[in-house]
Amino acid sequence: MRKRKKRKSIEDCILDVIIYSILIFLAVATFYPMWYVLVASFSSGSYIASQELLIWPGEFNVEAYRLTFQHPLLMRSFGNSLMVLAIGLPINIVLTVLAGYFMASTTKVYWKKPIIYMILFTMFFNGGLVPNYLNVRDLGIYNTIWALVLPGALSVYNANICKTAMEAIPYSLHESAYLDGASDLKVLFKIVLPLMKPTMAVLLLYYGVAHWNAWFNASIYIRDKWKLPAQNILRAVLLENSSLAESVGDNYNAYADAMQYAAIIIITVPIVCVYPFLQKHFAKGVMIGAVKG
Amino acid sequence: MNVCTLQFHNITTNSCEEGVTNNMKRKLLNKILSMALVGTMVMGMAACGKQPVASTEGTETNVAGTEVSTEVATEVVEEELTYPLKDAVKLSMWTYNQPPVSSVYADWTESPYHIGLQENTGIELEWIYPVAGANVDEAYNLMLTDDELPHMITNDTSLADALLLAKDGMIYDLTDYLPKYAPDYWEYLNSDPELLRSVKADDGHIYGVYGHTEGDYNGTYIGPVIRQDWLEECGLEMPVTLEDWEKVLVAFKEKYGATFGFNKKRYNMGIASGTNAQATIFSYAGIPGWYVDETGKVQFGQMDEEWKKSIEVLHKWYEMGLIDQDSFTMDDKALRAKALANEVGVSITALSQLTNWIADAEAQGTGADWVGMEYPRLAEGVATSRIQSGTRTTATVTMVTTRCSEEELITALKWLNYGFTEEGRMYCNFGKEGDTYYLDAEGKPQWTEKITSDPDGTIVAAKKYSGTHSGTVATVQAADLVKLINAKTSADAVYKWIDNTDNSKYVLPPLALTEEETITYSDKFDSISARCAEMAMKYIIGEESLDNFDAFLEELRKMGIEECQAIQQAAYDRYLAK
Amino acid sequence: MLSYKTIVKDFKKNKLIYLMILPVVVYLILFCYKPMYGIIIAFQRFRPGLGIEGSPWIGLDNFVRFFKDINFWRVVRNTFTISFLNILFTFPAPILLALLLNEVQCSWFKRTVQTITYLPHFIAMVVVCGLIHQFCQSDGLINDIVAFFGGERANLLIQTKMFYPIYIISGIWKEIGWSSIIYLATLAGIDQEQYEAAKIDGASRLQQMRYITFPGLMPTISMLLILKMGQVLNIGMEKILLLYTELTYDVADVISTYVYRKGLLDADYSYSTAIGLFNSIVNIVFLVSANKISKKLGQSGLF
Repeated sequence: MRKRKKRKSIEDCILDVIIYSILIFLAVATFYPMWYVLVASFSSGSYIASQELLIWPGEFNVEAYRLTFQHPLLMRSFGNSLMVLAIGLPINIVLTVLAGYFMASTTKVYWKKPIIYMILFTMFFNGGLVPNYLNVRDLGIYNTIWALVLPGALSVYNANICKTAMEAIPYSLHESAYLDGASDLKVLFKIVLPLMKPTMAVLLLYYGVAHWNAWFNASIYIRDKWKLPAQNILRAVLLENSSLAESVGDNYNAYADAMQYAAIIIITVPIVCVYPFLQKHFAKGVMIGAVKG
Repeated sequence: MNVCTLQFHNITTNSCEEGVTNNMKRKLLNKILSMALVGTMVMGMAACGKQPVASTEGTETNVAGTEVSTEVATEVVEEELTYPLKDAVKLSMWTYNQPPVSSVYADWTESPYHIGLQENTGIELEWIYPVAGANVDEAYNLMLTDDELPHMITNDTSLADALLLAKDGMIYDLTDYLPKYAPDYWEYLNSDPELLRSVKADDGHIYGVYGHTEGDYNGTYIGPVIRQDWLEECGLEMPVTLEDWEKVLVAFKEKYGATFGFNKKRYNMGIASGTNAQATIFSYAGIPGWYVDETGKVQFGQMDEEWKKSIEVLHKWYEMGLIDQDSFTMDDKALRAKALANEVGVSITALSQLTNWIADAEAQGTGADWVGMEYPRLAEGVATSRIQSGTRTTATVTMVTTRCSEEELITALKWLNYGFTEEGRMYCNFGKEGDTYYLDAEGKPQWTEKITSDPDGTIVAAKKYSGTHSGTVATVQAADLVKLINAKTSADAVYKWIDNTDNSKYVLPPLALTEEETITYSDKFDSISARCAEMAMKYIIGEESLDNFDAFLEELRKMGIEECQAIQQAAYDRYLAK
Repeated sequence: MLSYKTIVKDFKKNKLIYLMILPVVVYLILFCYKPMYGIIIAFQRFRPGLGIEGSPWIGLDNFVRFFKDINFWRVVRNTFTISFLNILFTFPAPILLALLLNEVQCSWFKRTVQTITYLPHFIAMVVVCGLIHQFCQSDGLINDIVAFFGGERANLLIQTKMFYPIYIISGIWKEIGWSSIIYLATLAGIDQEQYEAAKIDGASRLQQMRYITFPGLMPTISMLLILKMGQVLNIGMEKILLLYTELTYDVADVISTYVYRKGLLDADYSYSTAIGLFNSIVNIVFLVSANKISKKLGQSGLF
């Protein structure tokens, strides 16, 4: 924080008022839609419909949550999403670190340039929708969790972040390790990785959020409803005329609306909760990645 | 894209009308009796080996499977078709329909109808449905590119597209197999020349087993509905002409703040495909899509002056605030909520939705009295020219893919035949006798307690135990079903929609295109259809001015509408000559 | 140079590092390069039953068809429009936020605003668009607010003039806080003594912002801007797919959504692939140019 003179000038005061007002407006405008969802998830359907602006839950109840947690398809899809994370993240990280290490390494390797170009080229050019689909089909991973995990498992952008972070590590460290007879694998694990925890936090967050919030691939690669991830079920509910409340009969259901909001909360909260744990490293890590040296 | 949903509902919502007049009842009974009779005869003939083996010319086409036909001919002749079948073959079926009663059952393995079907036919069948929220066209297209096709595919594939699939070696030509392995279906097709030619592709072959209905009543399941109680409160008569409609809409708007609301997907802005004429509010003239005019010429509705006029009226109403703006973005769920909240006074909707609305009003005690009404007329005494309707052969077809071995193909056909046996027809329409239905004194099916007192309501209950409204199996949807599953008011609505119209004059039969025609046609017409849907909505909300209508027509010509028209005309001429 | 011996020697010497990159290479071949083979269906009339091997070849017909397509200009125009609107509005928003936050003394206030504005980044696109759908209906939240202030209710999703505002504002809402992190991090690195010196010279806070803070951000801004310029034709289709209606195709339909509709809904696989290929090629042109510019300006560039 900058130090300031104790007494502010009038000009400064006006400026402060303007800045604070803008920020308060922004914060409220950003916060309200989220608050709305939260409040609506605890209210009854008739209350949601009757209110102009929802400020506080009306006819407070947790019935919508109870019903939503009982929804077999939604709960299964939640599990599927967790599964995608569990399988996908390790693969992401391994591929990214390996690609990053190769690009950052200073060892003289004959095929280095071609391989680096091979990696970078995929950033600019890809098969496109239909060829990618045909490929997934040909590989025999259609309608399996691998179809959600493998395509896009390596983000070249993230590999670049990784590479930049590795380059920032003083070479003298590598050198002394090599002199001690350490292999590249050992250097990577014993020296490089421990020094780039912030970057790993960034990578985990990037890949994790992308996995958790993805829906498009599942919409074309998965045809068994029990294998769909959570976002696809949400999409069906929010945008495609399906109703969670159907599970309690085709008749009028007072909690149908609240259940939609409860489902949003249930599926969004886990990923939001991850951030505070990684936040410590994050500001540092993102800097390394984005402003490349 | 919308067409799919509609066609599914076709079979879904209306099942059959219960013959109200004695005449109709008799007809139904006769039909069932004669079916049964003929069915036995055929089987007998088949057993004696006297059944003429269908044309062997089929072998010349390079369609997979045809060559097999001759060798098989002899061995099966002795086999009598009795259900449950003894074939130890497991099959899979992809269907574009929605899974059975997803509100109650996690999937089809829990559905009593599907379980019963398995018991009755003796065939273990795995059902594959598009996943929740998936676009059905997309799911179908993706499924077709899969290396491992299901054994059977049920979809609203046109005759032309089926021909193409067969040419590509993806599905079997069934022509030679049907008489032997699906004798009941074959007999049904032969009971009416119209039926037989409606299922034949351009090369005269049959590539699938179709879903059929008993008649017009089943084909119409979308139409206008209105709040009768409000009409009475306002002291207004049931509107007949467009002017009447406007008066009513204005009155509703002023008194209740209610509008004319619909779900765009129901009120099709695009174009009908196949046999399914789509709902159009302005049926007095402007028919969207292909129709056949008085002189036997195939015409494209959007090119007519009348279509422009109908859109003009809608635009005027939109400007006056009589049409709910959300009509273009909301789904059935949202429309239902609006109907319940008294925000909509007039609508155009599906039969099952009308039944839902009536049930909602009762459950909530809103006093709303929804009834069906006639499509608007241009003037008093002028009959409505076109409404949403369907033919006896629906667009839903089950095709047998070349994944099947010969044995599996035969089993599949025997399985498909089940829906056309007397027993199968009753089961698919009404479930199990004595359990879900009984025959009353007049021999008409009636629901038992089990259905009528089901807590989920009659529609849902019926879907649990019977199948034609999920379009799950090729069969003949009985005219009695619609009336049985829907509230009386909604069942009656269908008469209001179909009576006193000239609809049948204009309906185009299912047309069979050649391979080349299909390719040219789909290249051009997909875009045309999308364009028409888009422009119709733009005209209505005033995003685009109708003054530029000629430019739109010019655009359609540039996109190749005339070529498409020529293709349709040629196909229609061939149909008449068939 | 390129003798068999050197290659073998190289492999022997760097066995481990080659082994380490092997998974990446295998992955890329399977999931990035193998699909590129499938692009040849752009020159065919692909029919799934016949496969790539059996489908008939039609040369450049699909490309000709695209250039003649009545939607050609519309999708190209919309793709550029949305890109430039993003650069014009979505891009500067987090910079402004960072500048404003930088002026805030009260640390809990700053933290609160930051946390709130980060949150939407974690909300899935499906949810964001689902909420937009609900809020924009004529009886939705936004109309409730409009009506509260005496405005006229209207369905916002069917109006072409509302599509860009909805698209841009929701985009800003979702990412403003998140994207500002990098600017805030840059600002934290600015030498405090500069401010002290400026204050002694009697510079006002506005002047300090103008002459110290903003120039401090410039390298980051230009770097990110160039990256953005290289992505001009790469409009993500997911958000648009979830937001547009037939009524807003005129402004919302972009190349990628058209590729999707043609390819998966109309089953016009070859045509769709041809359009996608066209898009990729134009995209590369932009990327290479952006990279050139970046290098000219003394930045490191992408590659």
